[in-house]
Amino acid sequence: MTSTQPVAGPAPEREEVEGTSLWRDAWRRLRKNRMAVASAAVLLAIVLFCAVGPWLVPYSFDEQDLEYGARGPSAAHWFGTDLHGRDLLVRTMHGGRISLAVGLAATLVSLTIGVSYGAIAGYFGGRIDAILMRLVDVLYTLPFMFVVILFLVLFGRSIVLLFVALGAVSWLTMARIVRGQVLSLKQSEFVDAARAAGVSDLAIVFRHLVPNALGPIIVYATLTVPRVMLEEAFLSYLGLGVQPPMASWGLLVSDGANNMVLHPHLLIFPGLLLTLTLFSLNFLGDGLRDALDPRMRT
Amino acid sequence: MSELLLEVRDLHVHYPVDGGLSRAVDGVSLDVRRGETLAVVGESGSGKSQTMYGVLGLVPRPPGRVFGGGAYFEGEDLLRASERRLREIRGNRIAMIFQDPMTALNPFLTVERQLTEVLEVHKGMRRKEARGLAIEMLAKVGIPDPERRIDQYPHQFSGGMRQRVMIAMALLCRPALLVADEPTTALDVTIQAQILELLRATRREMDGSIILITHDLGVVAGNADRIAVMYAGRVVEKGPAREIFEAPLHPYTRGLLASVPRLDAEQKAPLVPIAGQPPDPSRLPTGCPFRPRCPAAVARCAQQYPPTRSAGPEREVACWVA
Repeated sequence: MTSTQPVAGPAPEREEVEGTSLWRDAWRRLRKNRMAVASAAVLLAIVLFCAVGPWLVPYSFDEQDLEYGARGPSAAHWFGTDLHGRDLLVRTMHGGRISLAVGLAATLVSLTIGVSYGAIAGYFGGRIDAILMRLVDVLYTLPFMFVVILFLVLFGRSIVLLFVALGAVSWLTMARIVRGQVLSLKQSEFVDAARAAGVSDLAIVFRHLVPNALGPIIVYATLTVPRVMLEEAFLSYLGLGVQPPMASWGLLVSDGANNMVLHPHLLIFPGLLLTLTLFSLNFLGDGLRDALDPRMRT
Repeated sequence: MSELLLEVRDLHVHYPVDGGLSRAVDGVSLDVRRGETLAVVGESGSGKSQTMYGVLGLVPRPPGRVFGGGAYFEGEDLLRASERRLREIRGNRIAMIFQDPMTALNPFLTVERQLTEVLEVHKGMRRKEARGLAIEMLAKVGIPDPERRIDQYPHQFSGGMRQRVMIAMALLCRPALLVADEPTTALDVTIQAQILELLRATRREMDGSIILITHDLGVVAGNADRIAVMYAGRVVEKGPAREIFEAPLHPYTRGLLASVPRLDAEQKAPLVPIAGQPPDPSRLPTGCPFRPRCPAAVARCAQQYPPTRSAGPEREVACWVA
């Protein structure tokens, strides 16, 4: 905590930090964190690379040139080509689109559904909590693969389904984490004070409690992204997710891993981008967590 | 005789505990008149705060249970009011300030947000409009440079300044009743005096009533018109402050007074602590709960709880021997 100097009467106190809103303040603190800024820049670059890149490369992701298969990087193919002679650069860009989209979708789901679900369960407690959290427990116990396969059988294979399946499981842990946070935070005196001031329950949950839990929420959200990217890779590897000739980073990496002895570039390039993305997300998440805590002075 | 603002009749607040019942508040009757300060005095766990929580509907239910004769505020029984109605009253007609200004303000929200929220909730004001009023109120409670300070976070304020913010927040809607729950306990003595002076000035200006909950008789002296002494969830003695200080009737009140240092005592009277501990509210002794610690106890005290009887025009006491 901060030091509090005793105040003799209403004498002016000087504070070097000007207060603003939580977000403006956080932004100011975030900019001072060099690792976070660098990570944000890297992430932005990767997003641009994947989003815009394919239009700048004179190949398409499914264009094969079987005579020109599995070559290393060259002036024509900067990342080289894969076993079927497809340009790896454009495939990595396309794969990034899928992987980033999956990560983003899962994060959004866990931030919206997971946070509100957990916060409501934790704050209201009692029977509401019991019912909500037992439902989470039940969803947890369902074997994830089984559910996905069931979905596939029922609705047919599609990328939309991949998003639904990953979204459906990504918020469960978030709900538990937020519930735990809220459970301890609701004992705070400021919650009593807000209730004594006539603030409604939902306003207390979302205006008073959730911001106080932002630290763990953000940290866990940044952990969610790599996890779902790997899950996507796993699903795709089993043939349940993205299918060739489409690509995702997970798929490219697993392809690359199968051929790493003969053609290491197939593993190195997509692996590098995946790793870079995950690292940047972690550093950015760390920076965000610190920046969003008004008690942290940087 | 002035008009009653709050009239609490036979209030009970019970919590179930392992294999029993904790009677945090066990039949409390209080009244507060318009424009007066009532001090509710007692040790920790005597049910002072729980009484107010019960009145304001802040007792967590379940597990807690609140029942009794009624709690009439401006003629309306709060014990039977809907949660919605209670929310309208809390922070608006009855405001509360808390013991620890370090924890009673949300560390993640600026002072502005916390102050304007109250006005948005109760007065339906826009944020901009509310901000102007909030700045005015901060200035009124003695916070220098309020235009700048209002945008800061609680941790950027000192303890005394935070309590001033709490008071400003409580006064925003001009409540008829201010409940100050140990408002100075967490503060330095010099700051205590400032905050008490602020409360006094506030009451004069707003013509409202104050319930001052405290364990410190030093805080009560000079700040309260009437006193209710609580012990083990009950009011044991009630009366005008001056009379209670001059002639305490209940042995517990006498004990409390004997354990407070006094500057005006001619003789160097020793400080006499009250022996023993307050009882566990889930295992109250039979008869008078103060009996095990009471120097004046007689056989009868162990059998039956002493009824509250009148002891003078405005005084009541619950004791067999007093």
